[in-house]
Amino acid sequence: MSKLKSLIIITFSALLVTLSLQGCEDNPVDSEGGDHAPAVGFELEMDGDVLVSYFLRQYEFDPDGVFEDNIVLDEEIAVGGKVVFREADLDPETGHTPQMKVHYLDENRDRISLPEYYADGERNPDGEWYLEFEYFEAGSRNTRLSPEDRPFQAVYDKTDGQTWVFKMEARHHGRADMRINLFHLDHTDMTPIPLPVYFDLES
Amino acid sequence: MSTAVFSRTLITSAFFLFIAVHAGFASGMTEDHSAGSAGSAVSDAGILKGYVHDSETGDPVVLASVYIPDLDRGSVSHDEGDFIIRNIPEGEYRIRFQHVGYESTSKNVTITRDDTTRVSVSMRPSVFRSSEVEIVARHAAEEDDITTYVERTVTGRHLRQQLGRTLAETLEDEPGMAQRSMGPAPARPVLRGLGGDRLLILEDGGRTGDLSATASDHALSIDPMTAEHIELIRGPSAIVHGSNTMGGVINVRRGQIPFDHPDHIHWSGSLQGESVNRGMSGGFRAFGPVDTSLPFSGRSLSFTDRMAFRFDFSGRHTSDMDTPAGSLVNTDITTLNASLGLSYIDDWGVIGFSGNILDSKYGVPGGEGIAEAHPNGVDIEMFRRYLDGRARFNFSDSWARRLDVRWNYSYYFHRELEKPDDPDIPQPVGAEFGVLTNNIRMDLHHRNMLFFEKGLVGVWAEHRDYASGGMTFTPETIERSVAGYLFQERDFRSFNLQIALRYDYRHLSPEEAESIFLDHDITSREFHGASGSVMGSWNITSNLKLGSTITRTHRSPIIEELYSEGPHLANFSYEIGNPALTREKGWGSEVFVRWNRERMRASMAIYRNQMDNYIFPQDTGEQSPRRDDLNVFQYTENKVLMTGAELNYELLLNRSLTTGGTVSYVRGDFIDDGESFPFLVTEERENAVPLMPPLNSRLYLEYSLGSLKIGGAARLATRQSRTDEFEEPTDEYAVFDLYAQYHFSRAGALHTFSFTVENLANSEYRNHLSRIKSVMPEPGRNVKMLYRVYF
Repeated sequence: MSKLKSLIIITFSALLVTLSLQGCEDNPVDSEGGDHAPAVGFELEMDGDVLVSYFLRQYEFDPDGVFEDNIVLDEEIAVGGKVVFREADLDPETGHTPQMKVHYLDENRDRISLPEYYADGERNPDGEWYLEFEYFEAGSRNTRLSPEDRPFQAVYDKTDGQTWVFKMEARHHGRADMRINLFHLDHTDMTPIPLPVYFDLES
Repeated sequence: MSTAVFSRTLITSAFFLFIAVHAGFASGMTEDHSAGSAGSAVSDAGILKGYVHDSETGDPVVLASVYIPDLDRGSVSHDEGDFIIRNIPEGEYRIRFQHVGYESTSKNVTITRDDTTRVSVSMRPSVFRSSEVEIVARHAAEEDDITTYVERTVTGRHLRQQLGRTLAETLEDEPGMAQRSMGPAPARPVLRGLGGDRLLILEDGGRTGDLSATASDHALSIDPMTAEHIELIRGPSAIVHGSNTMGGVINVRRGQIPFDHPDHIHWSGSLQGESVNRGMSGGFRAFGPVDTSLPFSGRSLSFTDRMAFRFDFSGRHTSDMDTPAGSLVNTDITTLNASLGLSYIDDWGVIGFSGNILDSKYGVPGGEGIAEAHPNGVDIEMFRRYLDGRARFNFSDSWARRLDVRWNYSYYFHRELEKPDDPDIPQPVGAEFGVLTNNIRMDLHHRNMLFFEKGLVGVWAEHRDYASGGMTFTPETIERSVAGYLFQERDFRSFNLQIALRYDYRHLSPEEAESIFLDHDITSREFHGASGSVMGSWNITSNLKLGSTITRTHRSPIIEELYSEGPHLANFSYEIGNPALTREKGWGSEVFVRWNRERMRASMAIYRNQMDNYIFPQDTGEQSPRRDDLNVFQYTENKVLMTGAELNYELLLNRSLTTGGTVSYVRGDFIDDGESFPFLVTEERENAVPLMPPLNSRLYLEYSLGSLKIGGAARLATRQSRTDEFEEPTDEYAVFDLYAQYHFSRAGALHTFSFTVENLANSEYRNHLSRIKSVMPEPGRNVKMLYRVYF
């Protein structure tokens, strides 16, 4: 009987050792995968000039091409201006705006380099980040616009291997508030306040 | 696996091995050479046989629970009311008998070596609901068992009637209890205004390993369908389980590792349906002997009468929940749960293992006003694997009574997925969490020690590997904790004294980093401190008891409170921790009165809990620089005073009619830094502690006709306008329920039926503790049916 008890105790202990070791398996979540962009702002450049700068939830507009305006979103967020495009700004054949480029800023307001997923027109094997656009009804950060109601649509410009560039394709007169999200893998690393964009078109 | 982890595991295991083998050899020596000597393990076994019958009709009582608290073992009566328990060490025991519809009763017996002791017990039908305890194929926790001085137990038909989708919903009608929620699935109990890890939730006495204590959207990894009964533990007994148990401890008893050896297979099945979400859930459970033999050293080792198994399986599926304001999109739940336990039971003790798998998917609703970023809500996938090993070694004729050794391991993972407008787009991962937890605990239960008559001393250690992913900057953190504790008790005629002391040490090692938004760099932290509790109760008369408890608690900040940085999608918040937080220290005091008369039972408690450095996520009302769509919730600490009272009563109006109810009130106030704690806060202050339940009550009237019970209940709450700065008030409400319960025994089976109509008038009301109450009223009219059969 004592042998039996000892056998059980030893088996029990051996099982505990086995289970304890098994218990030290790797964590299913990789925090390193969360090597997120330290972006807290961005600059939107057009024709070599910074059109709009966004930093720590504040927009600053270049007076050229922008109407100073007391735009308030959701009755609480004062944006302070809007980006305006007129017929003359657009390519007559395609209806596209000039190419725009996004530069992301860190907490010191320095530009940071992020390998873009769509760097050369194809997927960049080293890239993890990419742009994603959301469109909201003018003055709202909640009410999304369906594709047919949007006055414009951002179009990725993947020519010449440039990174972080896009154009906007005009569709009809009007304003929408566009959120330029920085996507990292399968989640957003930065979701800024929507940017009011106005297309002042005759038709 | 790192070398450090490996070494630690090996050392822990070696220590465990040493203790186990030492106890085992001591046991062996005792049997062979020195039976009955001091400090030895017991080996002199006897058998208890008996017969349980109805005191009025004389009929046998089938499936009554027979329980020996000193051994934490038991059995159930069979078709003819007979039962048998083998391998009982020689000695004197008090045996407890329980069954649905009967008052619990006890009998003292003497077990002698190699002999059979016979008892006959008559049970009296019960009229009070609280006096009925029903456990089939398992025992109830008893007051004799010093690890579980249970203040309140929810079990039997009471549990069946209240059985909800979650543990919080199941316990919601208990005095002082409320439920924090963020949709029907991720609800968690709150007791006396204290939730999170200030109210510890255990599963068969072990930690669950999930993240339900850290955020409103994290569900508890326990499906109440699998609960045999639910215990509420407070005061000194709670300190044994944790230093931060100001709110108390809820222990869900599932009995996964068998501690009893049944003489045949018992099984039970459950089926529940409800209309409010077109939900169905069901479960199956089997518990029986494993009669087998194995070859060993040329001989055959028989395990007959010594091994037992337990298996259970349950599933739940619900669709979106209906409310008077319409269907709440994305509130569906699907959960699967399966467990298997195996144990060896002998006169010297028990050794057992169990494994459990839980897989759940549920939704957190979205909508305007709460979740600008997630108009369609968030889906959460949760998975947990749980392994449990337990050993018990009984001792006789010595200072030591028994040694309980326990190890458990939990592998927990959950991820939160955004729901895009276009269902064809892959769901972006907002956040994901992985937590691997190893726990070990040893409790030595003893008899007389110095001034005290009985008690326990114990040690507990935990290793926790926490990691988060998705769009979150919270670093991977290793957390190591160790604690030593003791619990002691003494009776002085009509006065009972209990004390508990505990010392905890916790070390957190994050991947160190600088952070933009945290006020301090992320560095390792360590916390240690003492906690304790004293409870005295005086039986003024045989019917009236007066008692008081004073508790000192200590709580280390958790990983999320220290190091969080990033959006918590399903919690609709951008959480920012504070690596400089200090430990939370609290003083709790309570006075209670319990009155038991033949026609009336009542209990009342008033309490006052003060906490220095009470840590909570404060809504700053500002959006995050990284996520414009989420408000920043900054973890902060403040002095808090919570005061409240509870009343609970049952009154027998006549032989068939009973009435009863509960009334609960709690008030939470911030105390300014320079201000000392007042005894009570009477004036109105600008901001109150957020998420405090309003004054609430539940009243019922019940008619009994044999095994049939029919009743009606009212749930009442006043308006809650004492809120924090960005918190919304909630209106008063009155909600009415109807219920009926019936049971009968036939062909050796106990059939139970429970039928409930909740929110009879389909009233629209809101739970103040819901983070999404602005878009989510509570469920509308709900017809709920439960059938459960025991064999």
